[in-house]
Amino acid sequence: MEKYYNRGGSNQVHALRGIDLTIDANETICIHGPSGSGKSTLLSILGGIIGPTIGSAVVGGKKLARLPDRFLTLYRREHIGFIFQRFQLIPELSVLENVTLPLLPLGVRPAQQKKRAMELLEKLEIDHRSDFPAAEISGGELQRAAVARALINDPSIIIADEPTAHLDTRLSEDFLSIMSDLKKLGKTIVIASHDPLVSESPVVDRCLYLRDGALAAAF
Amino acid sequence: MILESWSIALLTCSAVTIIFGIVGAVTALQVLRYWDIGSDSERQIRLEEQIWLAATLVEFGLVVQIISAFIFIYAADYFATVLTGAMCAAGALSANYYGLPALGFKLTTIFLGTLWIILHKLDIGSEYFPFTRLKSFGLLVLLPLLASDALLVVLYLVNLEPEIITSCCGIIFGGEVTGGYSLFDYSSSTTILSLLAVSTVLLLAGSVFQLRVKSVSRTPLVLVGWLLTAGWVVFYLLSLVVITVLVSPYVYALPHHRCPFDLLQYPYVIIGLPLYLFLHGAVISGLGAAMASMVTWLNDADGLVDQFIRRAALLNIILTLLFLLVAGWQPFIYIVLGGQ
Amino acid sequence: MALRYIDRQLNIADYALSGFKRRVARNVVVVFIFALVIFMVASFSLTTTSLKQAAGRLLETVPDITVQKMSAGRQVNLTEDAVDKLENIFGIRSVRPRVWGYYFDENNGANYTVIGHPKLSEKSPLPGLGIDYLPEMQLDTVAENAVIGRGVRQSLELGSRRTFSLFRPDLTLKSFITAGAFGADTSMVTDDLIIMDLQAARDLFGLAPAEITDLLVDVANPLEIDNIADKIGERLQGVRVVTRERIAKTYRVAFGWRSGFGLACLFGAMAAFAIFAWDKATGLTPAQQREVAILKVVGWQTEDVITLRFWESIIISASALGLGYLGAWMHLLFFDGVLFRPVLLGWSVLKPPVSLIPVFSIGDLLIIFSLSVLPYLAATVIPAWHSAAIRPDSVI
Repeated sequence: MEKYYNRGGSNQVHALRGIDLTIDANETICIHGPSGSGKSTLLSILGGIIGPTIGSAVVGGKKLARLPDRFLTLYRREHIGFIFQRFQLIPELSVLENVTLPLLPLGVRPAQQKKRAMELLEKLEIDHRSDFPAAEISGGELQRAAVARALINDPSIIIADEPTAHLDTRLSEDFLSIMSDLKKLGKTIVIASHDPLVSESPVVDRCLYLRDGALAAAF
Repeated sequence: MILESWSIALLTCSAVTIIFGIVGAVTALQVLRYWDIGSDSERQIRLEEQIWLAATLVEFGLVVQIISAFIFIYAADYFATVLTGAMCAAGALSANYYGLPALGFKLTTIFLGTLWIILHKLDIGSEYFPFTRLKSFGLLVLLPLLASDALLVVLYLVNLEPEIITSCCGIIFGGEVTGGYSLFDYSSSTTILSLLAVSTVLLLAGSVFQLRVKSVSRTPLVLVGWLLTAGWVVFYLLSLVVITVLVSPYVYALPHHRCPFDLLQYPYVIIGLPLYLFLHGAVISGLGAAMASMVTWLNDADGLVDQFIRRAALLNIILTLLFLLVAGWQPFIYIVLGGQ
Repeated sequence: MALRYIDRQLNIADYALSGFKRRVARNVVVVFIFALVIFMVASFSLTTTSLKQAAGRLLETVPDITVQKMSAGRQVNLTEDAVDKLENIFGIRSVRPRVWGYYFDENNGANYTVIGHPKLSEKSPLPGLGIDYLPEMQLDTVAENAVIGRGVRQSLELGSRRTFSLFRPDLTLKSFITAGAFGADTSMVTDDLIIMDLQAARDLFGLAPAEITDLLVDVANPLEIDNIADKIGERLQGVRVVTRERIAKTYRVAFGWRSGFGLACLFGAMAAFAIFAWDKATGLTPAQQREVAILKVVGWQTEDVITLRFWESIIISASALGLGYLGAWMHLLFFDGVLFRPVLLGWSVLKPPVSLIPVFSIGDLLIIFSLSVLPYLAATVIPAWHSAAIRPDSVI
């Protein structure tokens, strides 16, 4: 597939070129590459945030061609758990409220919301911080809260964008340990990262190198 | 009587709907010009976002129009206390040429707005947004209707003069028997009732036909859609006549009190509100199913339109029967059971 | 399906409420200003309705038909023989002559309304005016019985005295003794009123023996009032025949247009507020933009975000409506609608202390809603969509 921004205009950007990629179920992939190489664009397409210009991504049998935003969102809700570089939690909301955000428009009742969220927070060992505002918890706890939010709808695919960029070695290893557990649960994981800790981790099955919007050979 | 509180409230509602109508029409023009669902361009993505703007405007505008219709009727009821000869809203609305047409336009925009929203829900249910252009045409049709409504309301209010004698509902809807003119010049109640009965049977048959939409091919479905649309409009108008001339006197227990609006006043509102809710619900569900049948020629790859047709047809049958039940209740008590 | 829709709405409303609490300072300002605008609109509306009700009570004291003689466009006096010309009209229950006029008190610049009523000597009740008669008093001089209103009593500085005097046109004094007091609930009508016997009023104003100012006609069947009014007009030359319904309509129209005029002036305030609301809604902080982007990434649709903004607006509107309406209610109940009464009532030297009772009516609420909440919600629709159209990829 190809992705252009402002196609045909004077400020056209050819963000992704000739991406031909297959990721198997339950595989853990690391995407590696310099700044501006198109990692975020590729993740956005895989995560159903934007669509490709030419071609399509087929995910779990579902074709993500040029879909209206509404359908991308529906796809995202059901299949994708996103973990961001800076975690992107809402600082004034509590950990619990942040984690249950994806459930609100689905009409899940408050009792159910709390139950599902607390189960995840317990597994991630931050249930004792559930009522604290996100602005008041540590970096490691933020990371776990972000993972919990990504998992609340039980997605089959986890996408993480530079998840260890702002973490020290210990917390980075913690994160990889969580990914390893998710892998055992059958999740497919795509991580974009510079960090050699990630690319060289035994959790990662395959590493892809992206440069100027095109994939180099896998290693 | 433009400086009455009721008038200012009405004008405010009209101003809001006109502004929304204009913004909606602007987005409609852009969609009609540039819409290309397969495109990845910035413009196409912006247009897809603007569909939500149009939908929000129509939904909000519809609520405002419904509120405005109620205000119009209550305002007319108030004006009746200052107009000579008018004893209720019917008289006040007939005080000049503009009152009843204004109400007519209001109701028309309410119906069309509801149908637009139904079409919108069907449209966004499909990945191809098959009805977007049709919706945009709809917005362009709505705007002049909203403008006409607003203009007629203004003309009505400006031309209301407390000194000029108007007529009450007994005269307006009374016919030759009471010695006045009649807005509804009918020959006999039997004719009207027969027409209503025939149309009800035909329309219910149409709804039953639509229940089996899965086993029906496109062309007959589209044809039935057109026929039902015309049929429901006729049914609505006939029902209003029947309510005014035949049902309301039994509700008020007064042979010459033929006001369709007093049914919304206490204590008759217990009957009036369900009566009108069921009537409008039946007609809208009927028109909705008919409209959906007509647009199946455009697209229904997802089966969503079929599903909607069946649900709407079922709802329509239920609401129509409920309407007939409520409408016939008071006359039944008097004619068959011999009175209260 | 319907249940899930409701659950979805409740969840989003709950989130909107938490958002309201998170940005409480900013929202309280909006609510306060909004409540102020609603307070003005509601005060106006409630005052008008209350005045119309008071006018209705006043009209209970007015006869079915009042007959006055006109000459060169001004009212002139009749003679008592006009009564005989009307008495045999079928449908008339009674015809009573009346003398009334204004007495100007030079000492304090007050105008009293003087009514000479034939029934006062009989001590029978006057229609719509309850009179508590006082015990008879023996006096050295001749004094006429009179019933005076509270405002007159205060203006004459009577204190506990029961006697007072008024000047005839020839500057001789006429003595009166208060024979009773009006019921407290009639103050709007009776505050500046002095009622005395018909002949006493003639004497006070220096009228000729058979002169009267108007005729009060009561009709047996209310549906016949207009017909009888027409017949009176035919029987008596040069008279003005005014029915009670006509007076009622005049009040309604007067209050109606004054109220509408006032509301039209308030419209400027409402428009300014709508623009303010638009401005507030459009200016999203970077944090708010980020919040919307996060919501969309985690699965919120554009329509969900629009619903969120809608609920935020509803919370603000409902709070402001409650505060503003309550404030207007109290303004009327405890402060007698002091802010807007002058616009609606006009001015007079002796202002009757009208007790305004606020009345709850759906019609009023509809009007207040249309003139305040509706424009506000309308002003926030497009900004709401605009904020919901933020792209999720802006947070990546």
